[in-house]
Amino acid sequence: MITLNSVSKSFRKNEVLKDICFTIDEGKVISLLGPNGSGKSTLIKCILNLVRPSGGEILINGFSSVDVEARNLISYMPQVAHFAENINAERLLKLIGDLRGVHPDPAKLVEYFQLGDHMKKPLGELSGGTRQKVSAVIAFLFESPIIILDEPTVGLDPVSRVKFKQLVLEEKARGKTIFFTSHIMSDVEEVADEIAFLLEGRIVFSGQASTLLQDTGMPTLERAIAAFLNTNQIA
Amino acid sequence: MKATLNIFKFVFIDNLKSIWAVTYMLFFALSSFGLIYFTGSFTRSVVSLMNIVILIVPLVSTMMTTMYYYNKTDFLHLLLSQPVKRSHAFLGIYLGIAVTHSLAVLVGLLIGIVFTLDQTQSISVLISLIICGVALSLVFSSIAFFLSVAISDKLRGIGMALIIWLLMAVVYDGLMLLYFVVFAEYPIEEHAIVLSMLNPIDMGRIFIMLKLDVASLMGYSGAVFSKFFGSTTGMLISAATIISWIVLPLLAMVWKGDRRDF
Repeated sequence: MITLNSVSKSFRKNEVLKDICFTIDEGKVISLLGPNGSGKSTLIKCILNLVRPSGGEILINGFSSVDVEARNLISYMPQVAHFAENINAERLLKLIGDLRGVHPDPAKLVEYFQLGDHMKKPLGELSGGTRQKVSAVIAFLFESPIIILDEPTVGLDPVSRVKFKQLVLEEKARGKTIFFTSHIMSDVEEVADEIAFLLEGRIVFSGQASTLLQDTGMPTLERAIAAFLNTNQIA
Repeated sequence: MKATLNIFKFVFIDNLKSIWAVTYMLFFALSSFGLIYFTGSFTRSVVSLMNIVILIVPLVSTMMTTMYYYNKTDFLHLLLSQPVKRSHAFLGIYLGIAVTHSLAVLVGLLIGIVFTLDQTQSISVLISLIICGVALSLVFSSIAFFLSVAISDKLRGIGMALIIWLLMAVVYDGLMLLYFVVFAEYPIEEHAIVLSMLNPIDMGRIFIMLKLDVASLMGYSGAVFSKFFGSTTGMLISAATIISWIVLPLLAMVWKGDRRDF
């Protein structure tokens, strides 16, 4: 479970996150939505302790996000996966395994994403989509109870996207908590139990997607988000 | 520190496999071989090689360190999102970069020297040259890494690192010369030692020049330099100063890295 208590973050005079109180329950898939510049990446980085909040606290299964132990509970898949040019994926997985103190067998995930031929190639020689799949293997390999994904399906081909979403649902069924950002509403509709909508640094909606559809009277999530955004910006 | 070692090994191999590291090593191999073999005069070839080492090593270490750091921010984010202390991650990356640079200088110069052994008049001068190259690699990688961690903007970070190199490699000497000219009437030889020790590039230059036995050409100043740097105390102070130039930026980097956002 991730708990955010009055989390705020300012970069000089720019207040990016404003008094965010939010809980991500265990075993759920939550999607964080919001327009560009709404603070999604900053919020994710706060949870990962890459960015230190200006105020409030973040608890990861009871540990403060600042504690090293908290990061043992989280796996992270970044938006872009430019890790190292001259090293292969096998060596990268070994490094992450060394840092986490566990070395699970990646064979199943490697086969699932059809990465077999690419695991021994330098990462710099792989396409953006293949690197993204390597990043997905890192995120799902270490049996962390919490998985954070930042725009995970961007750059993936349709087949890999379907496979990726299937994997998210399987991990959810195994009790994992998954928190992800996406601008692809069909992905959100397919896998998210709940959505949280971030606008100008505040969570302005959190709940089931069906509630947002009802509230806005729109037939699709994409239209509902647009309608919600227009209403809130006008307001 | 196990995490530091694991990250060091990873970054070291990544750098070692890079075309730049190989090119850098070959550059020193070819220039040292070429200068010693073709110049004719051993002293002149060592002075030329010294000028290459004290200008090129700091510049390349500065550029390659900043470029590696700024081009690998995704890797840094991945590392920092693992159960690893920030200081351990940064130290691992620094060591990976700095050891590669040092090794490229060391191996490059050694290759050149080994192939010209028959023309070598003093092996200790060449060893001093290698020590100087390795020390300058470690110092300037440390300074550049601190600036990269401290400054989030890539252009500003690289610009600042280049300004530091320019100040130490060129401007500092000009200011020292100005000081000596203005105060030529006063006994400022001790000042010269202190001022030289404040700049690792100058220290490297004096360290090699004294080994070449050209101190006699520098008159009384040369004698003072020779006496100081030749003594055990002088050597210990010089070593401590160089180590400080490596350690202090690293401590500042750890302090800054622990506080900043990524």
